[in-house]
Order: sequence, then C-alpha cells, then structure tokens
Amino acid sequence: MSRFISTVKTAMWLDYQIASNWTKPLTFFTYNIAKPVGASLLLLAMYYVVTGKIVGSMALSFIYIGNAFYMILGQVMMDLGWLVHEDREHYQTLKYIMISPSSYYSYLIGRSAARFLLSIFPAIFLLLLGFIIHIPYNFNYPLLLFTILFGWIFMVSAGMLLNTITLLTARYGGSIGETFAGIFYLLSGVIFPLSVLPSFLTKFALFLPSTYWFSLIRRSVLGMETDPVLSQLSLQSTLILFAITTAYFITLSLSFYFSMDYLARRRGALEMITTY
Amino acid sequence: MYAIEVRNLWRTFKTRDGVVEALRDVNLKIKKGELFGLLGPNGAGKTTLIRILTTLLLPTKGEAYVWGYSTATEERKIRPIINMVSGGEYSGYGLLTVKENLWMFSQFYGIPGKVAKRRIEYLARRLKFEDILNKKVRNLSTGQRQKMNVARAFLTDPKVIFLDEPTLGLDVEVARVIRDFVKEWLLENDERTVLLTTHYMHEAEELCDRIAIINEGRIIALDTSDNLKKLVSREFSLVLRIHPKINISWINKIEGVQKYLTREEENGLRVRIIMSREESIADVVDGIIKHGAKISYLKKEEPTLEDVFLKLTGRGLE
Repeated sequence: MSRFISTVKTAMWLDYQIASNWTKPLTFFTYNIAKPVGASLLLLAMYYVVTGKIVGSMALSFIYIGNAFYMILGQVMMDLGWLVHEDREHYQTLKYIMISPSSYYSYLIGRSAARFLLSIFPAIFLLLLGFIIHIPYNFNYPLLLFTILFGWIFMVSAGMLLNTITLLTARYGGSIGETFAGIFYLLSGVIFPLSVLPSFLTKFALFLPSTYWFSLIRRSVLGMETDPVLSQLSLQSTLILFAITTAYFITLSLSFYFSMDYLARRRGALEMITTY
Repeated sequence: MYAIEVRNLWRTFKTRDGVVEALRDVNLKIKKGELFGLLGPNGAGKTTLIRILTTLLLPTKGEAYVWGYSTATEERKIRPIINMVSGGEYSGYGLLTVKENLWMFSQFYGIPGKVAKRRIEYLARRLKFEDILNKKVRNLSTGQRQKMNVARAFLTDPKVIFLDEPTLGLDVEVARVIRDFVKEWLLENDERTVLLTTHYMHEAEELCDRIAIINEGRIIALDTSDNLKKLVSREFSLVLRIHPKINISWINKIEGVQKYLTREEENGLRVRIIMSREESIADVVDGIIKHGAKISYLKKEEPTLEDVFLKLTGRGLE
C-alpha cells in the first residue's frame, strides 16, 4: 500500500513538473486558466450570436455549467491520450517504469490525478465568472464535493481505458484521446440535452457514467436538472446509476488493462520506438 | 536455484517481410554471483533475450526464470529484484534534474526518501557525476546521461541487473568508470548477478566470468573467455591494412587460411585472417602484391574472442 501511495504521489508530482516546468508558476497558472476559459467565452459569444442575449436563460445555464465542467473531463482525456506515447517514445522511460515493482496502473492514476486537479482551477474560475452572466446558482456543496471526487474516479478509469488502448498503438494517441473526449461531449448532456439525440444514442448515453456525472454537477450547482430525460430521475436514482456505471467502467478498464498489458508484452509494444 | 535459467527459448516476430526468428532454442543457466556475458553482433538476439528476462516481452515458446520465478507468469515477483540499463538511448525526463529523475525512480520502488537521497549521493560519487546532480537532464552529454541511467538501475539495489550494451557509444573514460563500478558492485555481495550484453569483445573479456556467444538467435558457444579462446588456440590472426581495395576472395585457397574478415577503410581494406600455418603468411603477402595492392600494416596476433566468433560464424562482431 505504501508503494502504491508513493507511486501515485510521485506520478502526480511528475505530471505537474511536465505540465508546468517550462515556465514560472504564475505564468503556468495563468495559462492553465486562460486556455479553457477562452474556449468557454467563445461558446458564450456563439450563444449571443444565435440568441441575441447573454444572460438569464436556463438553456444558457445548462450549456455554461456543462461546458465549464467538461473542461475537466476533456483536459484529462486529451492529456492522457499522449501519456503512453510520451513515456515510451519521447522520454523512453516506459520500460523502466514497467519493470519497477509499482503497478503501471498506480502510475497512471497519479498522472491523471494531477491533470484532474489542474483542470479544477479553470472550472472554479468559470463558476465565478458565471455570477457576471447571472447563472442562477443554488449550490449544494456536499453534493458538489462528492460529485467532483467520484468524478475523478470515473475519469481515472476512463483514462486507464484510453491508455491501455494506446499501449498497443503507435501514432493515434492524441486522436484516441480526442475521440474519447468527443464521445463524452456529445453523449453526456454537456451542451446538448439527451432528448435531442437519436433514440439509440440516448439509450447508449444512459450507460455512460459521464451522463450522470454532468447531471449531478447541474443538480449540485443549479439545484435542479433541466435535461428532459435526466430530470425524470430523482437525485437518489442518479447517484445510484452514477455509482453503478462508474463501477462497471472501473471493471472494464481494469480488465482492459490486464488484457492490453498481456498483448503489449506479447507483441513487444512496451518499448516500441516508431519515431512518429 | 540459478539466478537466471532459460530453457528452449524461442521468440519470433511477425513483420511485413515474414517471420523473424530472434531467438532459437536458447538454453542458459547463470549462477548467483556471476557476471555473465552475452557476446554477439547487432541483431543477434541479445536485446530480445534481455527483454524477455526483464518481463517486457513474452517468449513465443520455452521458459525463462529469474531467481526461480517465471518471466511469463510471475513478473510481479521478479520486478522488485531486477533492474536494467540500456545503452545508446536517451531516456529520462529532460525537464527534471538528474537528482529529481533518480529520486522519482526510487519512489517507484518504494525506497524511503532519506535512503534514496543517501544512495543517490553515494552513486554520484562512485560514478563521478556529483557535479551534474542539479543539472537538467536535457542539458547532459551522452556520457553524463548514461552515468545517470546506470545510477538509476543500481539505486534500487537489485539482485539481478541486466546491462544491455551499457557502454555503447561512450568515450573511453566514461566506459572505464562504468566497468570499474560494475566490478566493484559485484564484489560487495556474493549473490549479486549481472547479465551483460555487448559486442565489444574486450569488455566481455575484462568483465565476464563466463561468456555465451550468440549469433542469429542461437547460442553457439558458452564458456570462460580462456576456454573459448582455446577453440582457436592452434591458430593465429594476421591483421593487414592494404590499399587500394581489391577482391581477396582468392585468400581462401591458400593452405592454412581458415577464415577471413574484411572491413573497408579509407582508400583500402583492413583484413583479419585466421591462419594455422605460419609458412602461408608469405603466400598471402605475395598474393596481395600480385593483385596490385600495397601492404601498409601487418601484424601477427594472439587469438581473441573476435577470432573465436569469426571461426564459429564466418563473420565479425561489429
């Protein structure tokens, strides 16, 4: 257990160093916030162009909050997409991490935890910015804290799934990360309510933990769920469904991890240098 | 129980051009406390064997054991007691300092912070890189980076260490520091075991208790350096430098010429001939002159491991 904690802590530290070491801490934190905030402001601008207003509607609150918290998920997915490739080909350290007694899984948990924590800052900044555009906040702080913490568990397992796939691929790491992020963006009720999706996609979305995570985020920040499909569920049901879907996501990612680890050892992919 | 045991090991790779047999029926037994060398040219299968023994690659057929544990199914028991160094690569996080890189890897082995710090300082002193501990890895020279990587592997105090061409591309001084360190490290504990792969014969001769010669995936000889050289004890080597380049395939027809190896040099050839008759030296010299070339260097040498390799395979190590 102590080795697990030590590995997670060290991997978090490493991830922070890799993300921030290129500049001074203040510049890094400004950049870390400015990038996702810029994307959200762009969304607001588009909303203004289409509707002619910038404050007051529930649709805007739905989009704004979904988008603010999607930054966490999207950032974790996209950054994790490159992690295996970077360690294997750029830093050439993957094999040395792999032959260490620490589980690579614990290393990935640490790396994704750091990205997750770094992504929370822009979300907080966007929440504060929300006061300016009159987002009707009705915070349920314990629920928000719970949702964020359990969201991390879900994102770690999704990140694991992503990384275990990239163990076997040579060049599509970034694209796989973006694909994962895109699927969650489209199907989890981030800015599109589930009711606008074709019915088979709505059914598929109900199997994703991210769907319930975003619903819980809205319930804890806005005090209600405005999505026509998800608003039919009580808070308790949403929590249970989130827990169940997260549990099977973890199971899925663990089984994928062990299968892909075996396949990577069989194919000799752990040291693959393609210079791509 | 052996430190390393390999039984009927095969490893094939499927490529677009077909199936490549990287290891073919390899058998090895390496005792605890031994510094065992694997000598062979590039592509002989040395690194593939190391990858299997370090649990990074599964064998196609056969079994491999480290400290009695199967590399295929008991990798979790093997990993805490092994480590490895590979030569000719640029591994490490360039944004971190040498000390930070080493500390980070120590944490993956669960080494307490204070112990790790003490070991890093000790290894930096022994490997002579104290002056670069706070330098970012991206600013290191090849030799400095390799010293750091050697320290990374020894930092965890492994029972079995795999050194895969550890001095490849290093200057003489850095290579000597690493070789001296490995020798001293082994002496500190009876059970520490080293598997060294190299294609530098002098390195294998200097360091190894026993040497296996590997070629095209097969172990073709295995013994101490002295015993291996006995395979060519009745022969000697004739080393010549001739210019311009000429075709010397006729040399094979001279009585007493066993094998020969040529290497192109500027404006000429370096030729190494294994011979069994001193009287035939004159025939070789005459033949070269008759074919219109001049001899700028000629030396009769005692047989080396390279001659053993040449005799066994008909090719050179480099």
